[in-house]
Amino acid sequence: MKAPVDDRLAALRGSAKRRPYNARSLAALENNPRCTLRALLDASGSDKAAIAEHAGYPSPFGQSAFAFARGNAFEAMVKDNGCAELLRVLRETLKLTLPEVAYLDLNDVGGDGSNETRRDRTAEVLLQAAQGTGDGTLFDHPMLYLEVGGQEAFLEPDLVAFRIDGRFYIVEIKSFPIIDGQADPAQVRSATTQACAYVIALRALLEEAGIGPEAVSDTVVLVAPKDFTNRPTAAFVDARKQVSALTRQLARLERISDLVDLLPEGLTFDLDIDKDDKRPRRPAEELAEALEQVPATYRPDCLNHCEMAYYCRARARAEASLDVLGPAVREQLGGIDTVTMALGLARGQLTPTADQSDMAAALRHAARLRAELTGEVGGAA
Amino acid sequence: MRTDDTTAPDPAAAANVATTAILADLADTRHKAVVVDSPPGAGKSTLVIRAAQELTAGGERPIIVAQTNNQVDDLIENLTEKHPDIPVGRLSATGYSPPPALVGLANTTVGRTLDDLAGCQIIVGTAAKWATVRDSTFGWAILDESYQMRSDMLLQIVERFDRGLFVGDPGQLDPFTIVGTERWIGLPHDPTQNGVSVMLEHNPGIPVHRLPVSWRLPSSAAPTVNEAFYPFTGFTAGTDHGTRALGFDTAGFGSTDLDETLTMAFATGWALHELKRRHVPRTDTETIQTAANLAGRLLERGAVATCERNPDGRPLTARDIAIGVVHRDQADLVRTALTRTGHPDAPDVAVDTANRLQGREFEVVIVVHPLSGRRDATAFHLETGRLCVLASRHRQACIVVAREGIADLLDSHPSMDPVHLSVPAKFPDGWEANQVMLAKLSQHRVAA
Amino acid sequence: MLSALAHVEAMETLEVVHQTEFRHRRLSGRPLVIIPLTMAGEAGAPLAAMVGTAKRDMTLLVVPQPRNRDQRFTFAAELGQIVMRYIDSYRQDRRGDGERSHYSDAPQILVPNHGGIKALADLGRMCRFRSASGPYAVPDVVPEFGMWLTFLVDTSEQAGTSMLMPVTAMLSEHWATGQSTLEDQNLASLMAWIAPPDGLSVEQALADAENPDICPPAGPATSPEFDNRHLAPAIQRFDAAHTLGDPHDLATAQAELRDLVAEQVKPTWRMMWTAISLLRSVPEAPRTAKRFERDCVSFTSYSDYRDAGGFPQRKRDTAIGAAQRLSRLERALADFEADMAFDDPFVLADRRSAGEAFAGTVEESVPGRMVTTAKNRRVPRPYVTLRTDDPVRLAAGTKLISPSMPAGHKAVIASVHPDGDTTLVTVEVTGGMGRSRTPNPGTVPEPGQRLAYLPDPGWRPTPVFPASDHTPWTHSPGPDEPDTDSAVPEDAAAEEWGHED
Repeated sequence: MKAPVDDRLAALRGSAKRRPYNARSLAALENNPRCTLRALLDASGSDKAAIAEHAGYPSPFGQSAFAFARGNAFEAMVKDNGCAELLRVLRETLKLTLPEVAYLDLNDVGGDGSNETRRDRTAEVLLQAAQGTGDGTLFDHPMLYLEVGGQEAFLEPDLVAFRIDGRFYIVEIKSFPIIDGQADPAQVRSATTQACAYVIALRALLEEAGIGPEAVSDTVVLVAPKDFTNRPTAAFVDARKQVSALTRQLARLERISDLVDLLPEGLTFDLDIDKDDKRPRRPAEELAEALEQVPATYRPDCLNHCEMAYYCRARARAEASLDVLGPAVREQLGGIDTVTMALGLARGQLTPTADQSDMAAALRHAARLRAELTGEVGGAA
Repeated sequence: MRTDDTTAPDPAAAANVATTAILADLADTRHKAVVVDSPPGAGKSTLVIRAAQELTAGGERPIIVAQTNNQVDDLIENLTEKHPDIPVGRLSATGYSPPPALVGLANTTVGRTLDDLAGCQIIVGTAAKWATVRDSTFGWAILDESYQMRSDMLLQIVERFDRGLFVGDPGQLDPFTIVGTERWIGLPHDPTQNGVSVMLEHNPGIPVHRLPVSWRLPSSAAPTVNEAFYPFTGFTAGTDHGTRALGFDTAGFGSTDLDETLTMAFATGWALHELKRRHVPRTDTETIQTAANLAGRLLERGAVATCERNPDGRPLTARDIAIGVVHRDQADLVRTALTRTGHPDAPDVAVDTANRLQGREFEVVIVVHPLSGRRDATAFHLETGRLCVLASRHRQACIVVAREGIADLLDSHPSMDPVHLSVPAKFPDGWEANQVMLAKLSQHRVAA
Repeated sequence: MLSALAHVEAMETLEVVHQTEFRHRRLSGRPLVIIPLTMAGEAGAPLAAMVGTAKRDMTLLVVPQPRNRDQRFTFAAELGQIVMRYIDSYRQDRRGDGERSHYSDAPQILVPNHGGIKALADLGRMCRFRSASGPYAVPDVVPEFGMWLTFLVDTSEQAGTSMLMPVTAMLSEHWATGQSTLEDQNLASLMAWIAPPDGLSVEQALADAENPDICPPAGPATSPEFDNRHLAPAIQRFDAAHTLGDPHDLATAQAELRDLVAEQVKPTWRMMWTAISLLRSVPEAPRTAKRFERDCVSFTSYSDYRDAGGFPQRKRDTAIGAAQRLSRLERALADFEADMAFDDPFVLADRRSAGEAFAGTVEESVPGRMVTTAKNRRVPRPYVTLRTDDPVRLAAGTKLISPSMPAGHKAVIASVHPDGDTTLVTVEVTGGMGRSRTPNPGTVPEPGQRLAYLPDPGWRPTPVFPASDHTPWTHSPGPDEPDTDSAVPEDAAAEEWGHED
């Protein structure tokens, strides 16, 4: 990435500390690739939650302590005694024939828990394993590294990569259950997309040593509680599509400069956080003005995952944008963007342009039918 | 178990090798089933008829199961033409009236029950009709277009035969249902899956053959269709460059962009007629009318097609042309639009959705791109089978009508599909297949 | 298009817009409302449920430590008793004779949203394989309750049934809001549109609806802030009291937990009953009664199966079971959609605007037209030509029914011709004219008459599959491989729990 772009992105973020990419934010790349606002905030490493809150739309994404505790307890249980339960599951459930198992804890390196040290140690042992000179089979919390749009991203998987038949597999340990062989598809998807970031990072690491991508399987192993018990079970997830989709989105990031070029000079999302009381000093109206300079693509689905979603929804509502109603309605009203336009055409108050004439006729017809049914005056043609 | 990796240089020889291997497996009583995957226009019907004849010659009384009444009629017409000596029965529902081509055929009997067809050596019917038959069992069934038959339909007819020859095109549209399917995902016997996949899932070791040559697709199209929709299996065109050609009867005057597109298609076998970028409903008049006008213009100027069947050329008629669309309402609008083109024959152009064009063949096909003018790409519109059907019906040329902006649409498509445990991802991926097609079409682009 | 327009209008006016004339779901005179809450991070870990058949007659059940297996099943037994008492009250009055007799009424359980159904499905799965004897024995009612819950959840997948429904789905079927489908699944947001609290504008009510301090989520998940700020400490205090064994402290901790949960669930409880009375004010569609009779038949048949001591439902469908269910679901959906359009002019108009139905005025009628059938009988087949403004997209050959004609009227499209801005549709009347050679009076549309047509979902034979113990070779593993899912899993009762934490 060109230096000026980096400067522009840094200016967008302003005085705040850069928030590095992680597996979650990488996975989020797939959710709404068209949204310029999200792309710029992510690429500049801005704190979306803080920005949304200061703009008046605090994001409601808290995590319940119960979910957190359950996740940690389950992972600990699976990894207890040198991953005894994990091995049982891999052997019994997935019928994997594992050779002698050697377990390597990469949580820290001789007491040094810094990202860089752990990354180097991870690289060392994984490369040894790949080249057949090491003896690790299970790697607990390896630290992977990926360059994303010119920025470093440390991927700290809370999972283990291991080696079967000469290949690495990413193992995701999740606490949502697999009931009668099925799990919640949305949760499986999000776990899989995160795992894909690890697949890509691990492949990048091996590539530097001249080892091809086939050394890392794009089938992910998901370990999760069985039915309603605390005992783990496992399933394979075919992640080929997600790996290629994420690869695509990462490549798109390279084109962030096209987006940056369209921004007005001097635009920033800086909150100007006070060093002492940690509160933003920038007037909220000024921040709102800055945000409005950037196009956002709101979809109701954003409410499920994007910190900015409530802000964007308010903006879409203010613009009377049909985005508020979601894709099903948009689909039916193709080419019409706002409530004003849809109703203006339906009531015959607006003259349709050439490309709106079909839709206008359909809207007028629908409005006439509604008027007949509700007995409204003036609706009949 | 996959067999016959044919790499013979001569298409005819390669096809023969495959057919011989299939017939050998058919004669081998150890197999409960034989599967034949057929890419578009690879001689599937020829194979079905050949297999039926071979089985009859071996003393069997095979049944043939097709998916639609049209397919049944086509099969019977072909069967009686090739083998006028074999008495053929058509098992039909009450109210069926045979098309003109089948009326008065001496060796064909139409009957509502098996009793009506007692003297027939081959009995043909739709799966739905076979599902009403009870208490008879035949040695062999040939299941045509079997990738379009749902597993629950197979379950209704499977007791009618001991062994099955499953023939079909795995690249075309999957069967579908209007109800939620989540409860069955991951089951080997998922009733919404196609019958072939379910049968193979339960019967490892069934021989799976592949027909290696597309006799329909011209050499300009086979590699692209192969790469986009059959990335893991290779097939080639049955004809060389130069065997197939299109030429105009008259020089073009007037409607320049239509002529430019037709010229591109005639010269290269492909054309992308690109309209201005706009988000429009799927019933967009301009797109629909343009598709119709292209057909009208082609008829107006007159065209001669040269091919291996007509080396001296044959004038194209409206029946050689099809317009393929995604939604039924689009098809209705295109039919109306054709009447507006002013050409008296234009209404004879076949217009239909991808679903209904499956298994059919034309000289020139005009396609309204599934993603044209859309704001979002949905799973439905990205489904590879749909585009595959539309892009593989032609013997000479394929013209795609689309609004500019499909590349951006694909680019910004969010991947929101749910992911399921232990279910292999379906390939080819709709996104990738669309990219391959678009890359090809962009080399044949005409801006309107 | 009509319903899309309704949403757009609602967005403009900030008021809900009717999109049906009728309520197409039957609403019981005595529905059982259940609001299930679960614990975050653990599927099937029930936290609480509020249940009852009247606004002022509710029972709150709380699991003080949802991770504790015994407490979970105590909860399941308590809820099971209430639900079974309710269900049993419908297993009394039987009409008709012998095999064809069925109960005259059926239960109806209402939950806030689809998540509520999922929570009941999980609970049903957790309970139905349990055993009242042997290791980890549970009270008798638990497996029975599990099987009934599973039955109800299964019926709710079938279009047009009413025995288990999310209230949000019933509301949004009738009222179009100016928000997305996703937001419509939030009961508080939906109610903010339909009936904002006194003194509040829709806008204010919407803001409140998304504020968990004012409108706690309708479940099954609780708000993370509530979990962290209030619930987690309260459960800790309960655990501590439990460990120390002081009965007074334990009672205090338990009461505190109950109060906390009650505060979370009560707003939803009140809202559920407001929603129910709103729904009651919408007239029921004519064909709902007919569909309800099918509910009664299926309720009776499952009740008899239970009385005969039948097995619990399998974990996953068998090949034949799956095919049968698919056929049932597809049929029900097609019928329900046709019923709605037949009954309800709004639904019909929606389909008309999409070209899937049409209405118009008869221009010409040929009542005397006769044809000879295959059986060589002369029968009347009148031609009727209508002119319509609707964008008809039905092809020739489409079979039709009409809500504007006497019952039994059937027709087939003969031709569709655009004529200027309108369309001329000629139909051949094929049924509902009586048995004589001249059609009965009033059975053939006359010039000037206005009428509507929509596609006939038609009759189709119930598919016949192989006997359930004869799964054919295409759909079953070979003889060498074991059938992996027997009706009752061997390890059902002793499902391992892992270590408690």
